[in-house]
Amino acid sequence: MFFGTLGELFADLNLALKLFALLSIVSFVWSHLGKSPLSVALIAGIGWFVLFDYWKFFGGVFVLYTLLTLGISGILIDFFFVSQMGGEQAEAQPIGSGVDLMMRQQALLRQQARTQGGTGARGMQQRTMKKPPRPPMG
Amino acid sequence: MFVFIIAAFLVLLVIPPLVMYVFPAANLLMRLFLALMIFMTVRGFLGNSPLTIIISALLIYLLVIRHAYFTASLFVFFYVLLAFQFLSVIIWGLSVTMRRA
Repeated sequence: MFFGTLGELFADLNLALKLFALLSIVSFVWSHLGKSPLSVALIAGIGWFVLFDYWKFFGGVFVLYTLLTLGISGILIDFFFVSQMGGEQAEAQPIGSGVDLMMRQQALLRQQARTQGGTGARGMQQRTMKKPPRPPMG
Repeated sequence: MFVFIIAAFLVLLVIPPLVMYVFPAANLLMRLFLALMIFMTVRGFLGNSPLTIIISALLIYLLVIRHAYFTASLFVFFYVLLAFQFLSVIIWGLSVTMRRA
């Protein structure tokens, strides 16, 4: 068995996470106050508050902070935008050249003419130029 | 596609412990590397002090000696593949391949 029993694993990882959180607290306080009796008292106070009193909250926050630092948000963005949430729709190809653009426009015009009952680009142009009748006055 | 991406991530998570289990040299090297990384991280936080030795020893005992396979898996997945954006490449590659297929 790779990971031992699950309960032991969770307890050990919880302890390791607490140690890393303590490291963060110590480093933060030392960088702001230096090594003084006040900083030791502050480390003890914050440590007690974070590691023991409200660990269920701060443990999750610390894990989230670590994952965000490592770039987990990029993975979420990639998953939801690049892969389009696992959708199966076809990927639109970018326009490659002027000929490509012209062929696309012609295909679009043909399709519109087919759906609206006209013939080719001229018919569609005439339809788009035709104004709707005005409503009677009075 | 979601299933394939999750499956690919699971395969990536399983590869490091598998390699460590099959090749003893890789196991030893990975443990040494993990211990070094832990010590460097703690020293970066605390500097050279007796507290560094104590916390490093505790973390090395917990993460490298007791749960080396799990730590190696998490380390490679999050600290190497995620930090170097390799997981994005996998998501992109899988999404393009699956869409064409």
